[in-house]
Amino acid sequence: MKAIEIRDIVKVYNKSVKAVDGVSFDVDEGIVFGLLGPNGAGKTTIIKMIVTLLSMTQGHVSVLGHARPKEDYFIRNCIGYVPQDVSSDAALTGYENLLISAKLYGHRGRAAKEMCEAILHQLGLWEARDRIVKTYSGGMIRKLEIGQAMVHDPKVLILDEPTIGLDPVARKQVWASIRELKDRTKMTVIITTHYMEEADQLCDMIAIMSIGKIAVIGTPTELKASAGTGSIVLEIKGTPPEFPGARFENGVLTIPSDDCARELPSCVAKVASSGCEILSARIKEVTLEDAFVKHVGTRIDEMDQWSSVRKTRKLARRMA
Amino acid sequence: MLSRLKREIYNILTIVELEARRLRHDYADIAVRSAQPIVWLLVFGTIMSQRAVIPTGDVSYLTFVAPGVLAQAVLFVAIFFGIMLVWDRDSGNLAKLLVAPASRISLVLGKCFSASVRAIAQAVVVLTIIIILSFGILDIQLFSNPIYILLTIPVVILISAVAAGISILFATIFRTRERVMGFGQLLTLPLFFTSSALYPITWMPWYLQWFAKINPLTYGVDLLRGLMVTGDLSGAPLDFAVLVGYLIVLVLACSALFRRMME
Repeated sequence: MKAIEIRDIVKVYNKSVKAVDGVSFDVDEGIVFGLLGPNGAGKTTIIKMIVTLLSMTQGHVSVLGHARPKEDYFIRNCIGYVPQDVSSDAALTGYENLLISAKLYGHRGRAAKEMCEAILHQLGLWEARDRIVKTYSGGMIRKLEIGQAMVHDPKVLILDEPTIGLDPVARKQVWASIRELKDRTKMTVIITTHYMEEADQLCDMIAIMSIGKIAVIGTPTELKASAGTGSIVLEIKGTPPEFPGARFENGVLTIPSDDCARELPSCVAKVASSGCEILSARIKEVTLEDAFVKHVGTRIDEMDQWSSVRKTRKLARRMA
Repeated sequence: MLSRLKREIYNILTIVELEARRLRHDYADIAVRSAQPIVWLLVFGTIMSQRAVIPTGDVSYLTFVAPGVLAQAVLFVAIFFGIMLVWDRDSGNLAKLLVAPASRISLVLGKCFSASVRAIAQAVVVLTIIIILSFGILDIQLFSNPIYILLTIPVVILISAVAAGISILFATIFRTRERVMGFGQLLTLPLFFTSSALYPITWMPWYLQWFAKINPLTYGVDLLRGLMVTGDLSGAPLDFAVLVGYLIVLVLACSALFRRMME
């Protein structure tokens, strides 16, 4: 069974704005699936349709074999969802937030209390449990929210931009929490992100989105391979020997290679033995960024700078 | 079926618990809001009772208006509750509730009774002050049965739940904080002034009397006045039925429209 099956979904807001325009994909159980794209690409809209918050204008969504909208109640019982905006109650303590979530998913009395305490320990929030969430850092809030989404041991965890607005250290901590959870529970994780590095680090499978459509789906390795190969770049003095497919301009020799790290020593040796002096050597790997440019046509940061800045600031204000 | 019902009742209680916990971290809110009804009583009430322009039968005007002031305190807390809901929508709080396995009806009912939590806290403060004032400080004669005074609490719950229902209905229709706020204000004054809170309905022109008859607050004030002042509960079954009827209709309408909040 697939964790998620999506067929030809379309979402039109206010009868005029087409946010999602004919998207289909499957998510296998037990993987981390990433929707990668700039803001406004329709990632959040797709997520909201999966978690039963939005209706589809057209198309079908099913989660673990339960079809929307008929079986929404079952779907809600087996998914955990962390929205993009801060969803923990800022006026309550971390412990109270978890307790309310636990109760909403049917845990009662002692059992609910013990479960919350266990989650607080796991997430490293035990010390901060009785502090008002308003005083938490962005990373702590995200971890608490993930904890709140885990109270019912969901089969599918869905995170919308889990690290937006976080500093690099907090971001790495959140990644670690997600990975640790996934390894321990074997659940399916779906995340949206516009950070290339995040998608590359976390995801087993990535769908690159642009303006309501999916441009391409594949593993990070496949996507990068589709954007070409990496290359070894040597800055040299003199005339280099022949390499297949290599370019030599202004004293810089660029040698394409499928496995740069392995071929670098032999290339260096060959150039050195030909009598050239090597001034510097580096490897230029293909990144997801290259794959994005190839399949969408522009760089991601050119597409979303303004709206992303606005969103991040809005979030920062809310947390303050 | 029965277990699902039990689960939904538990969901309602959990949503109410959430509000109670929010309130526990914010006492100041109640204190500040309690000032307004007391000012009504002390300023408007005393001035009106000086001139005796409003016919209130056997009781003093201050006695007559005391339940009205309590109803006002409850109304003002609940009628703006929809704004909190819009606020919850703008943060991710509402999304979190909506993806939980709870029916829309329990969500709306939970939110209506969440307003009641705040209203009860408010009512206890206002009622205590009224009782203190009635001991020879102002000309207020309350019905001297403590059980009747305690019974005002369920009435407060009902009034606030209905008012919150109206507010939530506006929130699902208008969806922005400004508009919900605007409609709350637009609605508060007619609701308050066409009820029997400040003067008897017979004192109004006929068309406003007609409006007063469909105004849920009239029935709420009637119940409160019966419990606090006259001790006459002959109209209570009708009052109670009208308020419960309003609540049912509002909750059904809100649950049907609730999806709009997220679109």
